[in-house]
Amino acid sequence: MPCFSTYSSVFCGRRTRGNVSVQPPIQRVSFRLNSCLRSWQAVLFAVCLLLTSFTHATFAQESGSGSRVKLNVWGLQSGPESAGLDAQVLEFERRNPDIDVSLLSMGAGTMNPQKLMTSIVGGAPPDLINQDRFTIGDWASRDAFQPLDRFLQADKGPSQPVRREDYYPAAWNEAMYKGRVYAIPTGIDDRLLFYSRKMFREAGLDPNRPPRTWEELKEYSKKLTKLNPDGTFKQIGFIPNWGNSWLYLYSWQNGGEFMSPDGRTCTLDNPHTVGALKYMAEMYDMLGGYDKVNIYQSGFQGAEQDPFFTGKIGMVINGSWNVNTIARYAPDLDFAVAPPPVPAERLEGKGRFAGQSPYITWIGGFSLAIPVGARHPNEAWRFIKWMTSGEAAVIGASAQKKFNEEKGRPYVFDLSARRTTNDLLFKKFAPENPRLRTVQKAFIDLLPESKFRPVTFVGQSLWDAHVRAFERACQHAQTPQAALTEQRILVQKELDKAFARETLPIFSFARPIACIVLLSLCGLAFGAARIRQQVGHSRAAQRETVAGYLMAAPWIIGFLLLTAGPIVASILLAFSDYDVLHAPRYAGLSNFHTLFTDDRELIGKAFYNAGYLAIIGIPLGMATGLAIAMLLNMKIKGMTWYRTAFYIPSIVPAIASAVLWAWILAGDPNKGLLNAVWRATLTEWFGLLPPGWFGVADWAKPGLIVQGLWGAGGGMILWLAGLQGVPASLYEAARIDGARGWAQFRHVTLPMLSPYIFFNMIMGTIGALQEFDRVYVLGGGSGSAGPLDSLLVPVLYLFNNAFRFFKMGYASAIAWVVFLVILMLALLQLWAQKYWVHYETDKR
Amino acid sequence: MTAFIWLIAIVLGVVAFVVLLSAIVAAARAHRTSLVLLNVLLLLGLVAVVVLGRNPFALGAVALMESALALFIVKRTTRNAAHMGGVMQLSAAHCTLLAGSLLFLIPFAWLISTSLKTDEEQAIFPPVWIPTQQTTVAGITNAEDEPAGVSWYLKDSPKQVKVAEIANLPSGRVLVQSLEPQAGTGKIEKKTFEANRSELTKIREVSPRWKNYAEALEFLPPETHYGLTFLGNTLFLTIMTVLGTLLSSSLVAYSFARLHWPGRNLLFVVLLATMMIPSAVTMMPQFLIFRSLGWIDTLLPLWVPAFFGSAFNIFLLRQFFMSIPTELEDAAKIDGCGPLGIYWWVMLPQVKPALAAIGIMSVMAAWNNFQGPLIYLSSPEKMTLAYALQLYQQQHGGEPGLLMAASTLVVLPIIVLFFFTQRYFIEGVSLSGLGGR
Repeated sequence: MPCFSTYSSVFCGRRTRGNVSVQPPIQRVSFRLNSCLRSWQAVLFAVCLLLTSFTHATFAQESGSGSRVKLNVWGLQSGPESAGLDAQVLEFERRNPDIDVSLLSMGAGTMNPQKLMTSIVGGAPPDLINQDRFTIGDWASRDAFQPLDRFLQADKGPSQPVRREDYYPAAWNEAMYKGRVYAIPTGIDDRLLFYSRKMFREAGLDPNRPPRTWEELKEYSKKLTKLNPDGTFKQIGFIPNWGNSWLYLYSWQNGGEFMSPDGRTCTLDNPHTVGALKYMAEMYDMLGGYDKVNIYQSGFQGAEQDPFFTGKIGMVINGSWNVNTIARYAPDLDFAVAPPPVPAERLEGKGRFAGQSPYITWIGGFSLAIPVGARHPNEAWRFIKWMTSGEAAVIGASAQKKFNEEKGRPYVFDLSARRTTNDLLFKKFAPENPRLRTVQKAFIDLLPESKFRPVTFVGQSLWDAHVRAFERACQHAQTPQAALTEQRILVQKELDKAFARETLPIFSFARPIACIVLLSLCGLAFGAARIRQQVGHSRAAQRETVAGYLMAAPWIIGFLLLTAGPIVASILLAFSDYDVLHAPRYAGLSNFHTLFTDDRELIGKAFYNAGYLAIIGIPLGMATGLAIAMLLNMKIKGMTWYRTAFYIPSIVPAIASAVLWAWILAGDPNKGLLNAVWRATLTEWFGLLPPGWFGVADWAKPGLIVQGLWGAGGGMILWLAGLQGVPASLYEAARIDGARGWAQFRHVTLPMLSPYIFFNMIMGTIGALQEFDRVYVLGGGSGSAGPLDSLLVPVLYLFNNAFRFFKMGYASAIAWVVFLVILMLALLQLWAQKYWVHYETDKR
Repeated sequence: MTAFIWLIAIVLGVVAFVVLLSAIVAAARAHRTSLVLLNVLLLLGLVAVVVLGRNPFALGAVALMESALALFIVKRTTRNAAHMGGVMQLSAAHCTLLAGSLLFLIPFAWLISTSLKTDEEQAIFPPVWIPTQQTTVAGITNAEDEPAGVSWYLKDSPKQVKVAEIANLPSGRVLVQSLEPQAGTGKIEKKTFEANRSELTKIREVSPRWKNYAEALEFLPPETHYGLTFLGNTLFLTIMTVLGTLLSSSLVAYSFARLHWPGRNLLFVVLLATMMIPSAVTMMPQFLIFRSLGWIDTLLPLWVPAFFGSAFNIFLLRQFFMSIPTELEDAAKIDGCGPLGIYWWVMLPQVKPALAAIGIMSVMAAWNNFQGPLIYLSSPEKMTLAYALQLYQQQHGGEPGLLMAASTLVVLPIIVLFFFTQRYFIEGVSLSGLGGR
């Protein structure tokens, strides 16, 4: 064993005895170490190591090598259905041999703003992002995207590829913020009224005369609505917010606006919007109320079973994408489209509508933007120019058409935000089906008369606010005026805060950090002096001190860098306003103030949810674990088998377990394993319908608890250890005293296990307050917190603020509140344990 | 009311089951073969009533009768009341454990079953457990160049005709080819015609759809090499984390346990205090630190911290080191070993069980780490299994077959590891539990 002797000579520096023939005990120990690694363990380890180094090395090399520029694009999803996109990318790569386009198809990108923001803030963003135009204002306001004006300027000339004039004004303006262009629009969608000609005929209406005014729409809706004998809907004429219209459409039709032109004031409760909301509420009332309609609506399905295809609804305002759905699933549907009906005054061009177009719609769609910090902006711009060109559109359309026809589906091209492209595509690829062709034309024709959602950094809040106002007004929880005013105030607060932010003083961390460093240096010097003094002059003691510190160094360094430093930074952050991309500003106590005033409801909800999970989940988990352990403790045959069966679920990765349980506890009552059992038993016997689990607010947390119980076997091992530690003599004594069954459990087992119960309670409480992984998955991913925030837990709230909105200061304030709550609960339990936890050692 | 009756019947049935089982055990112990057989017959009778009868009254009555009979047998075959109680208790425990462990394993069965079903079968409710697929016929291919599926075609005529589905037409009808041999000649004529979907009944056979696994991997971005990159990243992270944790934690623990240096006790109190700090507090500043190092979208922030030791593991190992008798250390000292040598040659081998347990716990923590990758990683070629699975769920939530296949692939390695190192898993749990006391 030559290698071992060399090692030992390295490690054993002070070898006083020169005689090698006397084998020191150390070597024997080392041989034991070696032989203890059983052969299969060694093989397993070696295989793992080899595999890792192999995969790691080869893939790392691959991604790094090559002279071609790798253009990382997020949000363009390449998949089995994306023949058009694939053809466009291939053609781009053929024409630009120096560029290698990499499409990230893993869900990150478009749907996950947190990932995009983290990558931008972290300095490792994609080169290009396909982003919903509606959010461009938000990203631009945070300086997360680059203005593209310099590229547009450089391309100026007669053959300029990207020109503002070629685009529909609404689409172009939606991608602008504060006078600068932040993204180039790609797709577009507008909204029209789809109506079933078949149902019109059945109701005695003229199928060539769609409703044109709000009053007509109401009247038609009434005629088309039919009830079953039991009072439920057989079919319904029109649901104001089914499809894709929202309050936005009705408000704009009525002349309402949502933001003042300077973007500083929210005007959500202007009289026209109030009027529009009143109209929506009336429509629901006419049908029998929002809730009744909602129940009917919840039975609607997608694809072939779309309610419009199956004759469950006669008219629906929906987007241009719906034409594609119809072409695919209901090509023979007898339907037509018309501009969404408007107030009569607008149609006649009277009053405030004088000189305005009679019909309007609103648009949405995507656009290509270059994040700040992108490594290859020039190549990205070349890709943008290609993807928005008419040529690329034709290539994409022909490839997609070919693909669709091979699958036996008619092809309807996607609308482009570029007017010239639409003209070109319609000439070459207009649907062959005359009905679809007319419909496609109607969608294109109304595009110039479209509105778009205001470009503002509070865009998302405004959207959420308008949805809440709509729901409350239509449910008659509030009057339209009151609902809109309440929501306007909320949005306005956020606006004011953002504008006030600019006036806060810059918070330089340099000074406090310098102070702290100075202080700690003083402390260190003092400590070093003390240590010197204590160690004295003995060489052995000095050596041992040096060795001790050196060996503890990993932790000491780690503590300073990864714990102490961050704690100090976290305190400083809690008093500042910091979004990472801009210099931090001193915010005083405002983070805590917001937490306890405006966001009191949210943080309260988060702690309530954590408390719910803890108070119900922990005892249930403990009881399950203990029950299994007690059964196993009966010296039962096959104990190993049982133990394994109960234990295995607890080692399943939390994410995999959550993914699995999302499928076991399906939200759809006609899906999912547990719902099947429920239907066969509880529904059968008691008439209880299966709940919506993670789809409804009331059942999301119970679902989480059920999922958690599956892992209760992990705790069982601990209980088993505890039970085996209870001396048999105690049970014997109890038996002699006549204690059996429950009495024995109550007076012997429980007190003896109380330290374990206490330990489980403390750990469970801390765990419940730091719950994150499975809630993140079961809440819907990308930071959403389940229906009505029913799965919002403190760390999820913190995570969203920190890594989605990058409010580092605010998130730090939350972190400290979480810490204090944990500390308080732990202290409370520590204090309370005196009264109920029984330690065997106490008696000695 | 029916519900109530059913409940009572079920309770009675369960009781009867337990009593019958204990009767079997008791009879077997008393070597009364005829009684064992009688009991087994009774048990089968009970099962038959449950399966065939589906009547709460019948079930209740039979259960009551059989319980009484079995109880009598137990009484006859056991020595005294205590013995009888013991047998009954043991049987009840076995029943509960058996039912419980099956209950705990059902989600796994569901996972596997779902991962092998076709999309069509996922929608069936109540769900089916055994995956089936439409029978295909060799030699005839459909529009997608796969073997064509076989169905019964039934229209007007009383006789069903076996047909192969050739293509789905845009009109919603199906182009089919007859597979019935011609009357008289016995040859299959290549006759195709159009049929409505509703006139066709698919012929199914038990066959798992293994393709779900292949497809699940094919849907991954090409730069991840069918997910091998995820596996490689996760393995790399796991190995580095385990190495780092074991090396640094044991080294620091040794220093705290066995070396005498001023300030040691103070620092140890600090170490214990850090265990109270939730990770949420240091999460944002750590992100800023790693950002300033340019470590975002690399694996570094996920494993480098492991080399600085973890407070809990240091604490655990310190307890272990403290319990080792000093004689060993003194012997090594006399032989001229320095502190590092003593740590490596003398002390580490003594705490191997603890190291193994901590190692297993670290493997689990690294393998399951989700929050770290969620914050720090964004490129597909850097992702770990857990994070990739979550992203996969977001994209393929509507395709449970593929999603469950992917989940199975993530779960499998950890289960395999468990079966090889079961002892250390169990020890690890008891250890961390006891250490916290």
